[in-house]
Amino acid sequence: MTQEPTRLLDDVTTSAGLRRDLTAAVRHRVPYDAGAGAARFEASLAKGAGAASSGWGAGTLGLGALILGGLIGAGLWLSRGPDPSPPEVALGGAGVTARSVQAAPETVLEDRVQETDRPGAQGPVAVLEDRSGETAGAAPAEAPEEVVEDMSERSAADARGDGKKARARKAARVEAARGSGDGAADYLREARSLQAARGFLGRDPAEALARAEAGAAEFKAGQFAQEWEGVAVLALFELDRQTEAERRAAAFLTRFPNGPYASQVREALDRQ
Amino acid sequence: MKDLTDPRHTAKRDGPQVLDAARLFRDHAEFVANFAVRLGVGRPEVDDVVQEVFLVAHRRGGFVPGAARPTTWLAEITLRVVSAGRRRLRRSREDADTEAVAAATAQGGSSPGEQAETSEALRRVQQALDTLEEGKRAVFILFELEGESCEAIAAGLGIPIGTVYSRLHKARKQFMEAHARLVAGPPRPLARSQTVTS
Repeated sequence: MTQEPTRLLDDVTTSAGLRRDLTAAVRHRVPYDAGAGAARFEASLAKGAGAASSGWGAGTLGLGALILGGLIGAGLWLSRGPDPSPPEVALGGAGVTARSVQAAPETVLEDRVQETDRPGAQGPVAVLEDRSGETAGAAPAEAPEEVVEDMSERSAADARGDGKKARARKAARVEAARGSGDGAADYLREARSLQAARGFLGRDPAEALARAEAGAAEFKAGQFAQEWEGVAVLALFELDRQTEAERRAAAFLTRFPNGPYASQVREALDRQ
Repeated sequence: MKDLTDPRHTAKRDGPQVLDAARLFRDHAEFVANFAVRLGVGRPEVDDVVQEVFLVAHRRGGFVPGAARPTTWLAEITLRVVSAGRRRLRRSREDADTEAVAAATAQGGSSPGEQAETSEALRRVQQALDTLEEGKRAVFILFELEGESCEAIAAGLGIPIGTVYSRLHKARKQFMEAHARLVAGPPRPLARSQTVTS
């Protein structure tokens, strides 16, 4: 067995300049908004897996791939024999995500070969798109409600300064009412709620704070604890609630010194 | 250490625990974004690439723990997505370099002098990386910058471990030569694509 090579960073024979540059590169992380990305990811899945495909992947999702993929998927399905479980009923929204995740592997067992060289590797897309088609009837029933909800909340928030917490809790409950409640759906709903809360930073910090606190309470066992608290702390700074903001910022930085909101919280502290 | 057996985000099938795409996204979206940028993807395209990578991960049915790690498994998908996208779009490398430095400069918490030094360091590393062919570049990034083991890289990229050693050896040589040239040479404008292969 060959021994693992020594990394250039750890190799004393590497020049100091190179090690310094590599250290900077290792430490540098591209800021990526996981909450917003997750919300977009969820939307893509809800629309059908191919919906979010940009120019980076769309070329592999051509008609030929669709047809070949469908044939391969059908072949795999037929070769599997009768399925004792009842057919899944797509409900739309986040619920589709988990079910699609469960369903996809059956048709995606082998795409290790270059996808771009083997159009058939995209077979599962056809399956997913078919499933997304099934949701078409269910999704629109939910969408207008969401729009009305957001519009009413926004106008009410503009009209009155109070009642934000109550509305935020209601919004969190509406979000919570969606989906089937399994882990993946919870995660994606939480991401969507977080994105909505974050959207109020810089324009309506009271609403952002109310939503962040409602979201943190709603998703106590969720995946975005530090993001909720980060939004809340930033909102407190925007509201000029100095004492509370500084206290929570200090606690936040102690708990999450390298989190995605740490630098913003530090900057907010420095500005005081 | 992440709990890979968290039932909230694992799907128990007939075999081993599977990490679904949502869980993978939560844990590794940032890794994929970083890896994509180091492969030369410009900031405006990073989110598209990340989305595409996790859609492919979703289509594959999630990650099954094995010899590969989730990161190296996602790296293989990222490499394919970036490679396919580059063949189609032929985007300018200028964007990647300029934006990598801009991102570094935008980071708070250090003095302007330190920021300038960091920007220069990142520029040199990115430009030296740009000289590497994609396969070698991926191995170099995963091993040297992301701290992955050769075994995990081999399993993730689906190549023999001997190939990982070979690519790493060649990549290091080429990277160090390019870096030395950049250090020795006069400052020059960012962004010249040196070799773009796919």
